[in-house]
Amino acid sequence: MWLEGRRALLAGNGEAIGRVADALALHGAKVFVLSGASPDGADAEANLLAAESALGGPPDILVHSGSAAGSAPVHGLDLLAWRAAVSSDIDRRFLDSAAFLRRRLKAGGGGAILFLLPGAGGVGRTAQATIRGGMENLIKSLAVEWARDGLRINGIASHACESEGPAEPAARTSLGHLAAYLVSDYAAYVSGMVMGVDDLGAG
Amino acid sequence: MNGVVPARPFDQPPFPPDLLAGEVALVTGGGSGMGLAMAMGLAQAGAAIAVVGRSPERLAGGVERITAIGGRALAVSADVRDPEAIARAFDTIEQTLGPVSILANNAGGNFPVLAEAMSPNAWRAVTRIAIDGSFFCSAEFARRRMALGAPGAIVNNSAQYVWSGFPGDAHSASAKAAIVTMTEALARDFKTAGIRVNCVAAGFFPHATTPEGNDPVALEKLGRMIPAGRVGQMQEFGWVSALLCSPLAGAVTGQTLVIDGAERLRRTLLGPPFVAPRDRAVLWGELQ
Repeated sequence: MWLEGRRALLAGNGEAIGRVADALALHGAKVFVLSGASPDGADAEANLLAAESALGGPPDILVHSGSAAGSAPVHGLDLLAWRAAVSSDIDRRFLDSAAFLRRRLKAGGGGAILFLLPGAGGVGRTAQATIRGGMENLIKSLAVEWARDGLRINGIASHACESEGPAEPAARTSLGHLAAYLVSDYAAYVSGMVMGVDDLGAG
Repeated sequence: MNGVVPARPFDQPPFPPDLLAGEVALVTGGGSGMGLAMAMGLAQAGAAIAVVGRSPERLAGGVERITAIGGRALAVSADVRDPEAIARAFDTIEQTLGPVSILANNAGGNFPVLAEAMSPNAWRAVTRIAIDGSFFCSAEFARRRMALGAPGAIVNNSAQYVWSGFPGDAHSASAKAAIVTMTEALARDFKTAGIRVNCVAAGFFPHATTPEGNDPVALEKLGRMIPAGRVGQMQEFGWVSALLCSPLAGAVTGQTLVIDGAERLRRTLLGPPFVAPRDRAVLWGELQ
């Protein structure tokens, strides 16, 4: 069992988070799926405490899917919609991660963070693509900042992480196993990395 | 805080021993170093292994290591730059172990040299073994899988410096970057045939044939340079390579997984004065 004795908090919207929760449980982790969190990360500390209480101890895995921005052509994006998308997807994930790190430091142990990101951009996906770029560099920055705390940060960027889209069921199964492996100690030397599943498209 | 997370021990692999039962894996450069790590990871998951390379002695050493852990292994001498020799190697393996269903393109070479001092032979040796070798072996593998109407998996070996280049390493930096792009290109070409193609880009994994060898003092110092606080252990590289070839990653294709302890991301705004590669006492730097 890759994740025996591990406790995982899964946060964010979309169907992928439930599938990854199932995969982590299959590989031996105790899982807690957070729902109804504040979109701006204001309740990050409270959510961690709730997870801790439900899991019988502090979680050492955080999987976060944020809240994917919808599709809209650039000329149809108003400032409020843009701000809401960025806030609920990238701000919240940063704030939740920072809260997670502080709890890990208090608990005196390392762990792993995995971000689920959308597949490649495209027409109408400007907000998603922009946020994905920001998330990729957040992952790379945090991986170094928190490396000596024993905390690893990685990402899976794929259409398989999206609720709707062209991903096949097999891609969603692979996403679960890959996510479980990346947050396990078998991947202890993997950090600051983003990879996909099968995002070759029609090309 | 010292949050260094140790590698899981070699004898506790992340797979059941029959995960790849019935599979035959051809590992180029599988007699030693990173190739042997791939071969050992695949063997621990239950695949029969054929190690292919130029040096019979090195291949024999690899076979000995694989059989010592209960694996089935065969050594076949061939130069991966020679497509006909590759076809013959596939024939030989097929006769003994059965059709090759997993290909690990690992064969490569590397050494520090300034570009202006690099001989055409040095350039050709490093780039052709990696680029031509990976391509010829992949094409031969795909033709045979397609003829059988059977799926397959390829894993390629790249390096963490391909996104930045590497001064004093123009040959390998170029060749290993080509491998990342080739991975995605072949994944597209082979997708409808059910042949998956992925890549592992590794950081510092010292072993018997790297400059620091297995000297524990040097390894400890190397580890301090790396955000993760240690160097990589060979089994970590081998396992992740085997994972990508396994049904657990049955829909993963065209991907490059980086395993480097975040080494490539280390960066400070201020640091010691820049010394031009030509003026360095040791081209790739000195262990402090």
